[in-house]
This record gives sequence, structure tokens and C-alpha cells, in this order.
Amino acid sequence: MRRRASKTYDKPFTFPQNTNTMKDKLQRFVRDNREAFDVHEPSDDLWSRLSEKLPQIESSTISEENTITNTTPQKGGSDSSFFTKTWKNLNWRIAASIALVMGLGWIGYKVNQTPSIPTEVASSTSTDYAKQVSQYTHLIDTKRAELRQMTQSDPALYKEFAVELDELERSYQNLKADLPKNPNQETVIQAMIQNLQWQIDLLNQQLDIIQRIKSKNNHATNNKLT
Amino acid sequence: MEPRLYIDKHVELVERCKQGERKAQYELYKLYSKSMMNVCMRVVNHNGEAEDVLQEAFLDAFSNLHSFRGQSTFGAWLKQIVVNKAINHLRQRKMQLVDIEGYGSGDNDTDIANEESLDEEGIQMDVERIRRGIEQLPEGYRIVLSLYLFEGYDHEEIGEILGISESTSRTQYMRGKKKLLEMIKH
Repeated sequence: MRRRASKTYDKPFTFPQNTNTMKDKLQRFVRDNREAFDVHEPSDDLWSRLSEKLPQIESSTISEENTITNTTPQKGGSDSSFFTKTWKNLNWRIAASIALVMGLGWIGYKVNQTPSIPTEVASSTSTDYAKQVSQYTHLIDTKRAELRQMTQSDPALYKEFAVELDELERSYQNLKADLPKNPNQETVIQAMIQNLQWQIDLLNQQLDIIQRIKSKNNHATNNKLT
Repeated sequence: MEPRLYIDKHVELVERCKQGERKAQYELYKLYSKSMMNVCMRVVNHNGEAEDVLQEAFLDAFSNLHSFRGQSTFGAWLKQIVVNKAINHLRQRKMQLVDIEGYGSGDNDTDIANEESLDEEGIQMDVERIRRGIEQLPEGYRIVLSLYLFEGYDHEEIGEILGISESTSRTQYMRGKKKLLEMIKH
């Protein structure tokens, strides 16, 4: 749907005579009566069944779910077991990253026992930061896995993308190492979060590029077949 | 379907869902569950399975809401998830979408030529008859017709979703429509 803009309208394959007459009446009729065709209703208890499976709000602000799916719907046949596996691997990572950030906050607090104002701020908001960091790292891991899967046929491309990502990752690690000894912890944490956001942006762009390459290739092969 | 720049009226609701607000999630569910249920039904053609697909699609949508960046409306985004889920569901049901090329293979070219002789203008259109007619179509026809007529996908997009060529989608649509019109004529 979002590829409309790039579409070419000079497709050789058309049905010149009957498109107008045939197309119009049925299509027009369906369009004009669109609502009337929707006769089915989901059963009343579907929401309660569904909401049971939704993650608890308290545990996290961005909902995280045990059915991680393709965030790029065009991909078609997604291997759901792959994502379930990834998720299982991610579970402990999220826990670990929360623990890590909270731990860092604690260490920072200990190191700066002299009660300065910035330390207070950092520790009071550290749970919020921990949440954000864990959400972002989770998202990054998922997207990275997706990227890896989608570039299976093109390892060179993945390598190229990974170089860019690793650069950001390195500066993230530097910031993290800097955190305990830096007096202005909040600034460092904010920089860390900013860095994670950049990583997500970068991954989104990369996934977009792959998507575009794929759909172009698809068109090419389809056109060849016809 | 065009990449129009208009304000999605549910932007605020979506934002609240991103924060994990259960009430907002319920609001969105109420707004979209019926139309999405009908999308599911037209693809999988089975009530219980359609609900399963619907539930799965909403779960996915809510947990991946952060990847929705407002490039389309929320409804269009959700529908993509629903359609993909439904198609995948059919695939798991061992239906081979490639097989639709085989439907009515004996009467391909003459079939299309004959369509002009089918007087569409003279056929009385009726919601219920069309709806039931589509339900009775062979699976391949039903899906192409549904995606094209109801969900607003074009043949290029349908080809991509189903993994068939654009012209196959076109042909399937023409044949499916012919069959449908014959059904509702009587």
C-alpha cells in the first residue's frame, strides 16, 4: 500500500475491452454498499480472551508480548517459530538489562555518597530510565533479528549494515562505562537513551531499504514470468 | 490506500495505546474489531478460525504499535496485519495459493473472451446474493475478489500478498467475477 507512489502505470498486461463495463458495475455496487457487506460480529467474549493475553501495564509502558511478529507486514510468510524463539532468548536479556541499569544506578549512588542534587535526581528517576532502556534494547534486539533474517540471502549487505550499528553500539558502551564515575549521571543516561533511539531509527531505515529492494526484486521476477 | 496526508482521527488513541493503556486498547478494539472480523471472514471463511486470526492480529498490533509510525492510517496498518495473518493461516491450513492458477484451467482464453457476452448491466445486484456468492467461490477466487473488491488492494499488491504474479491476480479476478455473476444471475 505504501508502494503506490513508486508504481508505474505502463503495465503491458490489460484487458482493454471489458475492464470498463465489467469492472464498474460490481465494483461500484460493492463500494456503495460497503458497510452492508460487513455482517459478521466477533463474539462478545473475544475481548476478554484477548486482553488476558495482553501484557500487564504495570510491568512495562510499551506493551511487550509473547507473540512477536513481523513488523513489516509485506514480508508475507513469516516464520513465527523463529520469533518465538527469539523472544525466549530475549526474555532474560530484558531482565538482565533492567537489572543492569538499576545496578548501575545503585553503584552510582554508592560512589557519590556525598548527597549532591544530581545524584538524587538520577536515583529517583532511575526506574523510569531502566524501563526505557529495557524497552529500547528489546526493540533493538527484535529488529536486529529481523534484519538478520531478511538479509540471509545477502550477507554482504548485513555486514555493511552491522558496521553502522556497531559504531553506535560502541559509543553506547563507552557511555555506559563512563556512567558510574560521571558526576552528572542524568546527562549520561539521557545520552545513552538518545543513542538507543538512534539505533532504532537506523534499524528502521535499514529494514525499509531491504523491504524496498525485496519488493523491487519481486516485481522484476513477476514481470519476467508474465 | 493512496499515501494521502490526512490526520488519522485516532492518533491520540493510538498514542495512549503505545503507553499500554488498557482502556485505550479496548477503545481501538471496539472501533476496528467488527470491520476486521469481516476482513478475516472473507479470507478464511470460517467463523471460529476468523476469530482466532482476529485475536492474533490484535495482539500483534498492540505489541508492535511502536513500529506504527503514522505513514498510513491506523486502520490501514491494522488491516495489513489482519490480511497477512489470515493468509498465513490459510497457508498453514495447507491450501496452496499457487494452485489457484489451476482453477478452471480448461477454459482460460475463451473464458475471458466470453465475459463480454455476460450482460453485467442486466444483472440485478444484491448485497446478500453477492455476499453468499463470494462465500461459495473456490478459495483462490474468493480471496482475490475479496482483496480487490473489499479491501481496496490492486492486483500488484494482491500478487505480492499471495506470492503470485500481477497478471495471475488479474486473471483470477476476471474468472472469479464471471463465476460470481453467473451465480447471482440465477
